[in-house]
Amino acid sequence: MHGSPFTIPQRAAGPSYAIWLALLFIPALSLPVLAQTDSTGAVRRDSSLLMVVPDTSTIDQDIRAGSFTVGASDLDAEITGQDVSGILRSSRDVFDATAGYNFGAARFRVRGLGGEFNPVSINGIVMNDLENGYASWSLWGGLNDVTRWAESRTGVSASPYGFGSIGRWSNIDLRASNLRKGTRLSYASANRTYRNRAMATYNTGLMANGWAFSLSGSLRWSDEGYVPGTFYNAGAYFLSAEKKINDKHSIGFVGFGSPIVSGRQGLAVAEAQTLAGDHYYNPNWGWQDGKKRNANVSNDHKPVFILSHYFKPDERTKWNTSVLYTFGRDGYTALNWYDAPDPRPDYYRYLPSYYEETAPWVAAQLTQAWQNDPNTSQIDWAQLYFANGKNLYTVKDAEGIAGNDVTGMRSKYIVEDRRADPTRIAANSVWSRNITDELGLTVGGSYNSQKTRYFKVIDDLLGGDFWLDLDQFAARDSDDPNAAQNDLNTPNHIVRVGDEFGYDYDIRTNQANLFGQVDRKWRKVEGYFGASVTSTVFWRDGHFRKALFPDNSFGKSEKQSFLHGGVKAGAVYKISGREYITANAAFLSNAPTARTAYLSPRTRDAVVDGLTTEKAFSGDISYEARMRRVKGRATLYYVHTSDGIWSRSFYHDVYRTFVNYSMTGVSEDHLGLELGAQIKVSPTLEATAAYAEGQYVYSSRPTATVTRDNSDTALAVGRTVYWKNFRVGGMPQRAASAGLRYNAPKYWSIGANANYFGNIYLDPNPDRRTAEALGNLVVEDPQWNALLEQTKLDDGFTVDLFFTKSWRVKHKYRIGLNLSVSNVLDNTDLVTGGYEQLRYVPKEIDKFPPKLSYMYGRTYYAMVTLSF
Amino acid sequence: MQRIRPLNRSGLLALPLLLVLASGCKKEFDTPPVRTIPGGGVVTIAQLKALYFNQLTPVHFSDTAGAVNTVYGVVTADEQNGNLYKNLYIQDHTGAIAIRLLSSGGLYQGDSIRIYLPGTVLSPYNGLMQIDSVDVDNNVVKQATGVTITPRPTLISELTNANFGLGGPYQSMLVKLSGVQFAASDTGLTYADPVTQQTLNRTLEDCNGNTTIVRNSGYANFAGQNLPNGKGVFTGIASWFGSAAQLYIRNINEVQLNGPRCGESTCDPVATLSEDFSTVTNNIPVTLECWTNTFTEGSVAWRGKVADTDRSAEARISLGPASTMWLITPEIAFNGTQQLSFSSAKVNWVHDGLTVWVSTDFSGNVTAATWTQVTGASIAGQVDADGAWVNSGPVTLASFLPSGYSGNFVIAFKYQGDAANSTTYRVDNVQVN
Repeated sequence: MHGSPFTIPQRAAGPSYAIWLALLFIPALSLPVLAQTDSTGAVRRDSSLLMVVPDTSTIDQDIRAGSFTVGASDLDAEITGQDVSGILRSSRDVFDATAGYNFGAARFRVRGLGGEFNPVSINGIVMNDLENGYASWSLWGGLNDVTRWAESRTGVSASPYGFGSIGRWSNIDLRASNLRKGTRLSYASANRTYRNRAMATYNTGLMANGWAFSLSGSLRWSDEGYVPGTFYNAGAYFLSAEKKINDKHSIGFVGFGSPIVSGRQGLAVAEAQTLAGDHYYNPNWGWQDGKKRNANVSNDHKPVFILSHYFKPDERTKWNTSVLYTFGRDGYTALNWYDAPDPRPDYYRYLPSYYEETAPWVAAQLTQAWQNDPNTSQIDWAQLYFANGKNLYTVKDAEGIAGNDVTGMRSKYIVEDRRADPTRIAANSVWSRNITDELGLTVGGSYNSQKTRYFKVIDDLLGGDFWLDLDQFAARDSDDPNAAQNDLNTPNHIVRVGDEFGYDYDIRTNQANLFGQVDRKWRKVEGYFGASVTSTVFWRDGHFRKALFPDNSFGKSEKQSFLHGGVKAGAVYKISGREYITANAAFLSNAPTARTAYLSPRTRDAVVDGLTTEKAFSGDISYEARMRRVKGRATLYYVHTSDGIWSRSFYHDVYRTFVNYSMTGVSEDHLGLELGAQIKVSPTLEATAAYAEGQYVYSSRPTATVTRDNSDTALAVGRTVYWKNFRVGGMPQRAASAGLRYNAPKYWSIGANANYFGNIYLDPNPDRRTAEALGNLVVEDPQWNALLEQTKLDDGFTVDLFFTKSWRVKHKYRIGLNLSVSNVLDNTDLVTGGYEQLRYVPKEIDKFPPKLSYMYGRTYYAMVTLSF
Repeated sequence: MQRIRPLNRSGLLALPLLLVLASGCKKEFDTPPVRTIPGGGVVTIAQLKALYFNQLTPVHFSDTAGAVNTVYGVVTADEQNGNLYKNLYIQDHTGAIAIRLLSSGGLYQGDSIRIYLPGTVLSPYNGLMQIDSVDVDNNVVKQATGVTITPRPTLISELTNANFGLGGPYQSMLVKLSGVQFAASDTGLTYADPVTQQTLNRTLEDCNGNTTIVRNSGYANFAGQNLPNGKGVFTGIASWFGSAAQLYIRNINEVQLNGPRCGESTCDPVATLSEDFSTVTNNIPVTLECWTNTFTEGSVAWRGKVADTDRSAEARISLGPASTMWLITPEIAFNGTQQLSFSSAKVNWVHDGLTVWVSTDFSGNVTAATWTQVTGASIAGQVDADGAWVNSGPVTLASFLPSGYSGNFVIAFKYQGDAANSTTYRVDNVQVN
């Protein structure tokens, strides 16, 4: 033992650990991968058109496991002793657990609300991106062992971490001393987004020397995921260290990151899916040298570092303070092209339907080609290289230097990396005290500053020598030879791999918040009241001087400032020790996010007219029972939001430019019912049921402003959108689940769930619901209804099975086996999302049909775990 | 042992954590081997067109041994300004032809290209010969960029079926029309309609009442501009539709119609002068806006000379009576530093008949004005070949004007000859800068 490198005196354990861990971190931090994907299933930039669409590629088991704690038995075992008063509904809630685990695949959203109403915090620091409002669970993807115990509550509620919101708040506690002591090694095999996962975690718990450490790491990978042409390659690392200085003070450090590189799925129209004979047809890939190459690869790595101070002046008081720093890369690649045919195989002019009327023989040829030639149905990479390799071109006055003429092969097609690299610092401090046994007070404040730099980088010139940084939409529309310059400061800019081009600007957001909460207990009643006030400022800082907008593209824009806040209150009446009635209500306002406020941030700093805060009211009333054999909850809720902004951009090939569609004054009404019950039929048999019925509708006539990327002149101003009572799309508004679980005495269990999803709509294209779109149609015209009717998707039904078994070896080691099969019936016809294309032709609505995504068919997930 | 156990266990973590290094690496792809486009079977544009007239049905090219495979040309007009769409013109020394592309983009004015013909079709469309179904990526190889084609000086009256119609030698060529203007009925209009993106025809005319059509796309980036109101030089592609020529603008800067309209003569003094006589007609007296062409002896003045495509002003008496001819520039405002240059040529030399003069008081009457001879210019003489252009070299005009002079002046090219002294003289490229 003497001389062994692992022989360390106990006293030195702390610092040596630090060194050992630092060594692990250094290589991890120098990974060539960076950035993030938005796993909330919320809005994302479309690969090709910068259109905001829901992303399907990241909905996988990890996210579900992360956002909603896994199986009920685990929870019962792990979450004991948590400080949950009767007033607060815990994550053990049957409805929440079922909704999270069984409804996630169908993109169910709690109360139909978007991510901006669902704050997620780590050690009390809200992780939601300041610029778009959403929290991204993939930031800590692959760290399930340490993040799985997220505490979360649905609806308006009291919270020890912050003011919260009206959807669901979650907090992940990564304090080393709170992570259960032990080692856990696991390997999982699956056929979903990834096929393999290996994970290792070691927690020391609080050691006698006052230190606590937690280490975790994982790999997730697949050469090809469930969807053709997708791949997944991810690592994750985590370190948490805590030192208890004395009974009152502890300090802690948390550092983690989750580099993920993945080839993504693109949504396609039904015609392409039918031609390819596959609902999971993916237009993003093509053959290159006998390998499937995906053009849309997201590459994210955003490490997070948190320093915390835990202060406990006395038994009744806690004061926790944390500072956070995060930086890194968020990027995804996409094809770009200049003065060349669209390389995407599913471009509407390459589909047989485009020729059916005018040239049926071409349609027939195309149908043949689609079915037999992978270079037609997928990207023809060799052709792109071929075209680039012979496009001789002379750039005159390159870089704006007169006479600097550069001749070479100018790439017509490239793969570009579209980046949105964030840097953020945040600080937060929360003080709470139980003034008496009945009266508690919590106050806190936070400050956040985020900079997101948006730019593009050449990823691959595909055989060409260079790319010329010109805006082809501007080039077509102006006779000013300089109009096409993306940056007048460097005209005729020649870019090569790694060079920045296209656009380059920062979105800066600063936010300061103060909140307070009082809670009070009486004999039969508990109540709380909270209030919050926030100041938000954001602005754009352009690094390029765009030729079309020389006066409002370069440098800092005007700052947009908003003061907003909220109040909330709630009470619980205890009918008995096992039955409760609760009621909660909140009114709040949120600053518009920079993402929706800027009309066309890629080109200029113009904002939507009449920017104002978005208001939200939410109220709910529940009956909750915790009987010996039956646990359950029934909730009726109502949410009303108003003064929202809705904005999207899309390419319009008649205008030959990007069109930005912005609506203000968007209101929504969400009325619904949540039912959840768990019944112990016998000591070994347990039944669960969950039912969600919602009616989520748009409830105002918003005003639309339509602008173009290449002109200051609006295409439409003050256009009224008639979409009162259109359904909010992209999620099931009705969902039900029923399950049975048999827990054998000998450490195994088996169970099944049946799930039903209904009332799924596609989000309406607002412009189709305007007087302008109807033109001179009359009600009797068939086009009238075709234009106005909202697409309702078919209801769906799935069955899931699971089996678990565990063994104890030598009273020390526990081996666990988890096996689950989702969608056992292999229902591949369940459309879970998509969108109505914003590009449309009023009288030929089928010319630009919706793009659809389907729930995965039968998939499995099998995991073995060794813990000790 | 107890103490080190945590460390040993955490050693287990090294494996996955180091494997993190290996993950996340992006897949790198090789550049695939690139195809080449075959060559051989070369024809000129004129020979290519002849293939159609041999059979009078569309010519479908295919890749068979010994077949016609390749044609070379320089792109004279591209799609960059939106006036042409999926459509180009190429030209070589034998002629020009329209190209119809399968998809837009990728070829630019000045590109010297090789077209691999298999897969394309040669046929006329409404009298315009074209190579149809050209795929820029699969049928075209670029040889060079930035190649300039000189436009062919052309009169509106020459835009005939014989010249520019189907089978005409000049169809689809880049042409330059001088002394033309948009018809008065059109000058209040825009080139096309950028709002409805409608393509529109506009009428171009010369001072003799000949007219032709300029066709402008609603997608052109100049569609919304007003037509120019003046007269001057128009450069474009002479295309053909049905039974008439139609001109396409390839670059709006090549529409230079800024001078006084036909019949107007507001000859204000100019700051500089550049005259290439590209509007003259062979053997017809030179009539240039604001210039004076007259004689003080005999009965003939300076006449146009067209030698192949080379146009100039010519003084020729061919054994006729004694003559003195004057070709006088517009009034030029003297700025103290201007220099004169011009080219001269002679035919059948017997005497030095050409001299150059300046006057500060010329107002239409040659004999009433005071003339000072300009010396130091090289002028074609006995030793030069017939018809060979001799550059005068720059001549500083201050030497022939009063010291400190700041008014206007004119320059005269004076020819004197008779039956014995009958050398023919030509003048071109008169420049004052």
